[in-house]
Amino acid sequence: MSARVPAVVALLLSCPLLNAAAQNPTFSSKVEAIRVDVLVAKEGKPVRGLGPGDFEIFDNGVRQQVDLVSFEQLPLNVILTLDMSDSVVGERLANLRDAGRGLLDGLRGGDRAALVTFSHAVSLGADLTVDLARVRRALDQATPSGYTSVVDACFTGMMLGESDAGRALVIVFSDGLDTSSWLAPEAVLEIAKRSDAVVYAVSAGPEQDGGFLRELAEQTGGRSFEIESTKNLGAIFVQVLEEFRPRYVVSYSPRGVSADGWHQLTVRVKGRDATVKARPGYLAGR
Amino acid sequence: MNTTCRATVSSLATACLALTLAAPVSTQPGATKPPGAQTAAVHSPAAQPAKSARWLQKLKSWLQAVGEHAPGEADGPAKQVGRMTEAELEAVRADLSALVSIHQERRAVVVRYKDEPFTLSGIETLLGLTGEAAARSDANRILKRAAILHGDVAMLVVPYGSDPAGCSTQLARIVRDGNLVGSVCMGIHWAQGRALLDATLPDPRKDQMVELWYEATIAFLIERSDYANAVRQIDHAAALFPDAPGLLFEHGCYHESLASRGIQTAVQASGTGDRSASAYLKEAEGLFRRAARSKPDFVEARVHHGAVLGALRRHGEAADELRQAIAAAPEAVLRYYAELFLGDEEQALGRKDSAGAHYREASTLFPLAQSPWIALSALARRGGDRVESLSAIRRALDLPPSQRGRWEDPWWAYHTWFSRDAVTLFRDLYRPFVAGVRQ
Repeated sequence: MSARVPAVVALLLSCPLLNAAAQNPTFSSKVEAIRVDVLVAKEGKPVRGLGPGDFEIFDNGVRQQVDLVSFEQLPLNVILTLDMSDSVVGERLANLRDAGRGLLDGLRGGDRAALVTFSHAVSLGADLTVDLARVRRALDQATPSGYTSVVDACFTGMMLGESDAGRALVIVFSDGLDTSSWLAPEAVLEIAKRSDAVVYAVSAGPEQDGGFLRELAEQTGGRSFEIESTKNLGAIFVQVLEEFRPRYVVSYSPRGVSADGWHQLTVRVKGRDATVKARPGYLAGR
Repeated sequence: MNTTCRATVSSLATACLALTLAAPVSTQPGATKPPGAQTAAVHSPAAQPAKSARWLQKLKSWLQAVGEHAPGEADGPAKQVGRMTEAELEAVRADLSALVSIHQERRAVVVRYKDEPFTLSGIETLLGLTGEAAARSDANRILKRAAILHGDVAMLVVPYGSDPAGCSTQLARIVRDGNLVGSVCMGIHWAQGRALLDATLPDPRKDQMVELWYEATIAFLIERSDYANAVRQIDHAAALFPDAPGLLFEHGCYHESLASRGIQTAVQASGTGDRSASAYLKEAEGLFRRAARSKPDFVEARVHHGAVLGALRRHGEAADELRQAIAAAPEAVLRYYAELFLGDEEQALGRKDSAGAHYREASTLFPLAQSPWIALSALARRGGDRVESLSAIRRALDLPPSQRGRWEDPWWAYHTWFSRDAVTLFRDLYRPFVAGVRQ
């Protein structure tokens, strides 16, 4: 599966179809697929070798036909979204750069990476590229200054992650509270429900903005880490990559459910005593 | 007395204010005398002359500093006064008040105060009262110069000191970049300035200099995010000037700032606040509305009023207010804010095309600003248009990198933009007193 599969499908329907959907609010056979990143683990280790027949997906309680499952086949789009506000200095900055380099070292051929940094402004250090050396250089050149726009930066990271084929992994690091974003956290959380980017967030410091980042990670099927010290940041970034890569990408075409609104997702693996982690749902329609 | 008054001024503003005003220099026959004056009447002449000499020396030294201080400078007199303790400041103020009261009685005899003999002319010489001021027992010039000195000490000396001089026993929390990073003392010199100005004649509530002192110092404190000291200034100013548009507006800005994301999160995380963002926003809404009504061409108050109405989800009212602000806005920055906020309100009202038009207008006003493009990207993404969303976010990222100290996007300075006039306010405040520096 090399072509991008849109996460939210109702938006792609033509106007007449939207009218029809209003009268009969179910998806037509023309709707496109929903893609869900799923982590299946047992005792902390990924479970391998599963196929479409092993998964059960319920969209708003309606069982769906699983069409496609891929495992470690799609390249990754890793968007490093890193806080470069005033407070990221000294050892914290060194640890952050080391962690970023370590993560880039763990990428494979075909994977792409980008660097987004943020203070009060959001900056693109390096656009999505397979040239990881370029991203490393950008990481080394980033210098801290100013306030914190973590909400705007998370939105930017998700949009860049969506911009290309591949599985979008947004890794956010912040050690502060949002002080200068234009977007409200609620707006970005709502957009996250429409996105298939998965956000892993690391927040550091005594009063970090864990609330927003925790919710964002949860909404996208990712995970959040709240840490006191950045000493182990490198290990956390590696752990994120190790957890994300062996996730399954499960795809289905929704049937028998409303075209609009919030769709609650339930993903199970048949006959296995395993932990399943996926985003809790998605938002469709305008 | 002043400590008690400060603690209750927000709830008992009128009563407290009356007490403060009456105590130092009442002109009403039979009015209550300040504690210092009452003590003078019954003081035993035999009591500790050495101590009396010290108090008088302290008062003279303070009066000399008041006379020699150059407004707006962290000069020698300011540093000297900055080393005084809270008790010494209160004593100086009480002694000044007592001497003015004695002068008001116009007794043609020698009056003893703290064992020191004073004549009318002696007091006039000590306080520098001449001409009409002496005839009215009007110490306004000293009181005002002293308030300026203590404000300057609070702004220019105490924050840079290495010891606790200039601090009360209370602590205020410091929030930086949204984080609580420590605590700092509450400045005693603000309280001194307030108490001195409360004693101006005939009525501080009708004195433009007093109003200007509050307006300038509050702008300074909010610009520095010193909300702990600002709130005491604001409460006292509100009691004195309840309907002054400039002070209503600053008061609204204080509440709006406290409702902001960075402050709220820090306050809640530290457990130091018991009011929600919504409570602060409601306060701000009422204050901005009053400011805009009492001065209809007060565009900045309308912009903030519209923003706060929007935050309170009163989108229709917000949009109306912001449209009025745009129509009248003389400054590009104010128009920019209004266009951005109106974009959000139109979006909330389901008018997405109009929302996009307002964001684009904001971008036209400040082509290097990121916020309009981020807003346009989010608008498109919420509408399901990934291509447009990506295009807009790329426009935001293609803008020249932000340089430290520059504010290409006025949104980043929204909460402190109003204080841009502080320099002008201080210049106006200092001007009448600069010429009067005693060399």
